[in-house]
Amino acid sequence: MINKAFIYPYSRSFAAYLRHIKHFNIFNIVAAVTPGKWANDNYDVGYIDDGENIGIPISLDYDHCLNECDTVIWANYDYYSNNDFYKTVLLRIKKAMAAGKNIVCFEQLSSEEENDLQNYAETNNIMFIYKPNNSPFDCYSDLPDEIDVPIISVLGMTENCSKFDTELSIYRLLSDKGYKVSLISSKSNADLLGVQSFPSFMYSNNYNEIEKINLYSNFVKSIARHQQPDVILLGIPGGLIPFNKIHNMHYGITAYEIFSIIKPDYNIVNIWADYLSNTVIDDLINICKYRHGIKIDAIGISNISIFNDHSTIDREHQEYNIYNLQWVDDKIASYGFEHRSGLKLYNIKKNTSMEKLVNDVIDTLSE
Amino acid sequence: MNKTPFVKLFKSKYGYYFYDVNTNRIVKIKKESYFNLENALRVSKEDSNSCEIDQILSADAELKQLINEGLLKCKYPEKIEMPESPKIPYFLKNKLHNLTLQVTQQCNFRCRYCHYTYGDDIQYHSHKSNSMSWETAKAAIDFFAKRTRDSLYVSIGFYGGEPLLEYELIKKCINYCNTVFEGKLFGFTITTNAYLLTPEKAKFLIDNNTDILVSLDGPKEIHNKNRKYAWDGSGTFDTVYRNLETIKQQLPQYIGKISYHSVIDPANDCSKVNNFFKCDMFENQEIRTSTLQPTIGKGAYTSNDYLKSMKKNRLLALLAKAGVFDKSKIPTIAKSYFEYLNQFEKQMTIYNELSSVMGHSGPCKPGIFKLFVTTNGDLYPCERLKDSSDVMKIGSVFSSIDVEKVNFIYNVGYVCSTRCAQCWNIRHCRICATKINDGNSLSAELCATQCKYDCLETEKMIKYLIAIREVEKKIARKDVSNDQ
Repeated sequence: MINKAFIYPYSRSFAAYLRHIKHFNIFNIVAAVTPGKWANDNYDVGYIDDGENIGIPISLDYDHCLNECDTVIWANYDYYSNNDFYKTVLLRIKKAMAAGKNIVCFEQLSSEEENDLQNYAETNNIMFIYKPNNSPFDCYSDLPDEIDVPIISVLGMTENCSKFDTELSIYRLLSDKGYKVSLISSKSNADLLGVQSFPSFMYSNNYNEIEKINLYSNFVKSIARHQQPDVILLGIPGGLIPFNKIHNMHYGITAYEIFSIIKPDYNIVNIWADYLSNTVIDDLINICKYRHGIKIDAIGISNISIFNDHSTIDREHQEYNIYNLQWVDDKIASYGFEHRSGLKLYNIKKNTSMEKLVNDVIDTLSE
Repeated sequence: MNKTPFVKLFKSKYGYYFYDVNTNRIVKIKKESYFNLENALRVSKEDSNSCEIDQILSADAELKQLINEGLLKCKYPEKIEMPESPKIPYFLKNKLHNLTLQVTQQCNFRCRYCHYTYGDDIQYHSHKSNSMSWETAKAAIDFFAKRTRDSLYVSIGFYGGEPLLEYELIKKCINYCNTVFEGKLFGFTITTNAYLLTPEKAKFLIDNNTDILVSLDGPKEIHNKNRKYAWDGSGTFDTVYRNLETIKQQLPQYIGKISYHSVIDPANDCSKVNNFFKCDMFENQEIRTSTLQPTIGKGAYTSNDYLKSMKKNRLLALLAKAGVFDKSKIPTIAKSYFEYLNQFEKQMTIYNELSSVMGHSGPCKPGIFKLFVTTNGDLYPCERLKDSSDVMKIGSVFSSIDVEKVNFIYNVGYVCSTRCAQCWNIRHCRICATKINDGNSLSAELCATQCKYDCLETEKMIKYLIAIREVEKKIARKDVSNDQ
């Protein structure tokens, strides 16, 4: 039984998970521990991605939290700056296990690491919860051709523009309104949140591209059949357009594969706040129309933007600017709230704005 | 309406060109078109709204075609202001990248060209006995760390005087930073004269991801000419070289991780510097060079040997850039030049046109890319400052950063905004507030002088790029004819 848990190591990449976990009361989380001492102690965890407050404090004291809690939620981290830091995290997780604390693991582990940690958990008589991306759904049988459930998709102009946040917000807001939603997220480690991770076969070398397209279609159909949802929500990994040669955003390949077989009924495209312009939205409309055969229904403005500076732009790991929600509101207001085609813009980190988006989704799909 | 195409004309032995400021492109044109364009620019000097300009341009088929392709635009910035200015408060709060701690103002050397020492012009600091306390260093690291939420890459530098005079403080800082910046990609830098660099210190620094840059000008006779002891004015080469040899003997795996900086004095023959860095001690190591620049308006003695040698170095760098010469074989000094050419070429990104509101390319975001902390905790945008001047002071680690001051320094283009908006070098200008700080204010007069020199530098670089293209083309033609 999990009574009190804390997150470690906490960074921006886990903020969306944390909002969702908090909302659905999956765990009783009392703190999130950031590595180092650069974060601000006792700030709300929402500070890390400048989103709305979540109601959990940041802590800089791992050992104190370890004493206070019975469970460590091992978060996936933005970047392991080097192997030494990953080793430090692993040591701290083992230290927690040795102290009799349960572990819920969101980090992607190799099978060797997983076995090692499962054995260590057994020795210490604690729970080690790690749900790898195993699909329980049958993607390999012949399934009926049509999916008669409305489908919503969340895409990104690029990576790192808050798609997962958007998926979880829509999932939560529709669920709150009484709809049964099946979410196939853009993330590979979302199962522990009670939603479906992006299927691993899409990244596998064992299938060719045609097989992947057919498997994904079957995967969605299988979920529709088993879960009988009112609506299916698809998070599309990667971006639609490459930023540069290094940050190619997978060249929009995943989106191409998915939309080759599935044409959603409502499509939301997220863009970086700094890139909000007529030209960018025009290009996205055309890319979606002519490359993917889909129509954009809403534009989500992310509070994240690439740090487009010559000092870091060619580096392996890209840096991002994270603006506060007011900045995004101001950006949308100065742009004029909607694109010249009539597409509305939404501040996707802001709950009130997402409520409006979800109402538009319902109105559109009810027509 | 200004009808003057925003261009700068160039010609070489083999062709006629213009640099198109709006698109940032160098375009080759026919001789006739070149003179027509020159004529149009001459007319515009008399009257920039003259219809004659249009007539001249549209009468030339090639120029007309280029205009249709989006070149030769008459768009000039309407306002000189850095477009990133509104983001400065965000950057200062969340995105600082490099912290430089002036751990001491003392130095055991008195290099003749050092900003601190005497030389021809005492431009910046002076050597004092001040050193940074641990309290100030810790406050600076904490101050910086709390403003790095969105910085993935973080660097902490140790600067002096001679920073190794405060080795124990540096050690303490590094150990502290290892705890504070856990989870980020971070490292340290130190520039030292190597007088106090022992194998033990080198090991600690390198093991802790520190880039050590040793100031070493070249062979004994060249190094000793400028780098002298504080106590008797004698040359420092023997001790520095002996220390490096000791490290090589005791820690052979570490010596390759040290890099070097050589200040080239135009009074010397720089081929001797090239030969010196060819020896085993420096094999496969990074050697950076910079040329000693006289104060603007004042001359400096330049030897004939230097001129000859530099010509050769530049030529080799250009030939390497054009793919005619093996770049792995170019001498040390030419390598720096080769890199400089690469950097400039990188700046030749093609644009659609200039923005209506923009700034010149010179200034970095003050305090954001580098935050320099003096021994007493005052904050400056970089180490090139005048101790007595408050013009560049942007705050203190014991209080805060002055956002308005940072924005003022960042928007240094205000000082000469009218000229700046008309300057063909706006995309390549290197002028920042440090260069035009006269000690009391940001000086329009200094800005004008710097502008002249900076335009000449860009002009030279564009000519080099043209030369490289022409060589590449000639080789390509030769290859084709050989194939045939």
